[in-house]
Amino acid sequence: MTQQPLLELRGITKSYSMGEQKFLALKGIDLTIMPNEFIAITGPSGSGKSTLMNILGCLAKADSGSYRLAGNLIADADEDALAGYRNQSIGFIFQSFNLFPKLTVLDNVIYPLRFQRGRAAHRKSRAIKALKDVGLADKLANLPNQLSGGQRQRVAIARALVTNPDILLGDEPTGNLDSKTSAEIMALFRDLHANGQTIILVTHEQEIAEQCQRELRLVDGQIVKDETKNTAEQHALGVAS
Amino acid sequence: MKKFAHGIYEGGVSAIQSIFAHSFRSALTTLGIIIGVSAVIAVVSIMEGLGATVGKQLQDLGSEMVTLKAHTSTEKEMLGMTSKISYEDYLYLKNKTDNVQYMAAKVKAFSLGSDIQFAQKSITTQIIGTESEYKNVVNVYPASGRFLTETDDLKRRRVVFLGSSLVEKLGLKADPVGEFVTLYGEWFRVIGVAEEKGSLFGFDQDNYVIAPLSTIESISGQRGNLGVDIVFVPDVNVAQSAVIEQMTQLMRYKYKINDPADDFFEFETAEKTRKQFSDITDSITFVAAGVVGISLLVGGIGIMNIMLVSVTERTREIGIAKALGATSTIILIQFLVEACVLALFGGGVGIVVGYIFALFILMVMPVAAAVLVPLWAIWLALGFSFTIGVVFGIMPAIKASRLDPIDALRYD
Repeated sequence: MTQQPLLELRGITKSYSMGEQKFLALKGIDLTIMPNEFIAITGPSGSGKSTLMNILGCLAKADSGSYRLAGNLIADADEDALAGYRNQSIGFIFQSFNLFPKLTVLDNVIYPLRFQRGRAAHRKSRAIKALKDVGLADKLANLPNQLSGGQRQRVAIARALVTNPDILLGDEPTGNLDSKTSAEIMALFRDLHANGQTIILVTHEQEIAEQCQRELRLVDGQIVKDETKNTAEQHALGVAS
Repeated sequence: MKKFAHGIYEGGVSAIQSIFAHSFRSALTTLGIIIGVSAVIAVVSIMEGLGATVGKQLQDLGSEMVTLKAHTSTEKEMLGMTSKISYEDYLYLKNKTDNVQYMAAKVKAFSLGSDIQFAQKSITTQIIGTESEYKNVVNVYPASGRFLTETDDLKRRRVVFLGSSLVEKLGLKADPVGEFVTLYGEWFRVIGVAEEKGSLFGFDQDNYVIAPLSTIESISGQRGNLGVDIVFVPDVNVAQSAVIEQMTQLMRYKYKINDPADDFFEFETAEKTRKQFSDITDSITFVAAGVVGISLLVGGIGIMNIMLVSVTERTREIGIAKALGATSTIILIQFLVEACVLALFGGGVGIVVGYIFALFILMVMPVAAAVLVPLWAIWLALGFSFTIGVVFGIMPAIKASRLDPIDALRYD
């Protein structure tokens, strides 16, 4: 099967200037991600995994190298085009949920659709469907602070999914959750993956990484480990948890 | 363009959501604008109402009426001199002018005091000594009884014609014709009561007594020596200015005045009075506009302040919005629309509050018949508010739109 890569990074570098000193966060990353992969990016703090996630999520641009996302060259994109990719190609999930506290669950999920064309009724039905998919169809009118942590993260996942993004990009998505809820959220990710969704999770928890199909380990701005588990092992893990 | 319109729509929705999310703060923020706009609306609506009332009353007064009165230049005044138009001047002008429909002399007998008594009551009033034709000049008609006649003047009869409010003030019976009142310690018989005129600037216009000019003169003991005002109405087909010009020339000829600056008389027309009045109201409006300008400036700074606080407070929210695909333009528009909606809201509330305030003032001080909010004032207030919103909202909006999404997401 000759599939086009969904994501292709070649020689990506990124540096930050901290006062006088220049700090090289990514030292030439080469990475190819195919559709329907389930990937964990791990590494100690300061390894560059957040920087890599920001670049993957089109929140920041690399200093050099090329990044191709679903066939689009991101390096050439301007601010507004980046916003467009973030809106249509990426679904962000954050550690601290990052829901709008004053908006209802439904309005939170509709939010990214507001930057796309479409009728209000159509947006609403898409949002309701996304909320159904994460099992929150009965909480439409609630405010985020009326929900538990796990429920909030489900709303955030629904919001990320509502635009049918190419990639779900999670930044420590279980970091603020207890182990039971965390397992539920991971199960949800596995379901989504089983339905064909490409998922990238950034995490420092080895336990989470082990539930993914492929693990990329970053140290000092370089990929030191790129390991794809065999499917049987994966399957066994999924059943176990 | 379509994208821009979409941005305004989405920005507007977000703006209104966030205004209602912080409704108390939003209300406080707009207080400056509310105060400014309500002040201007109150002042303008009262002034306009006053203008309409006065205009109508001047109309009633007879817009064609001209008053010729003595004018003392400041220079002469400092020397202790007072100019005077005599009854003899009146007769002279009356003889020489033929373009005049009605003409009368009147004397305001201030020097004699101005009290009228009935039974135990004494009321301060305006005593006018004049002739029968006066009624045609100023359009004063009897509600009961009759006005002065020529005979009253010729025979120096001790009769008075009363302004309507005096009847009640003096405690006279409803139709007091035939009753006797006291002026200057002399008995006068009431021959008629005038129709009511109402009040102007809160002054009672019906508090006056009209008696024959000759009677007043004889009581004063200054026959032929009292200064008079001459009131007249030009003929229907003759321009007011032409008659004024003719009289001016006659007076100058009679007193051998070569330099117009030496004129010791002046003409007052309804037009002139209206002009004087509108000059006053214009300057009041102007001063009010200045005050309002300052308060709107303060209100605008208040909005800018709150918007800056709001941008800082919502940094994370802006970061999320950007991560979910909001462009800088959408963020900019959202904050700008928010500032404008706040300002317009303040303007709208200000208009209502100002109107109510004007009604309240009118209730306490009945200076005008009605409060009038002209459409231009509403548009001006809203336009001004909107401008304030744009001018003071643009800076915080730019600040918000330029936030880096990564930094904004990390902000606590």
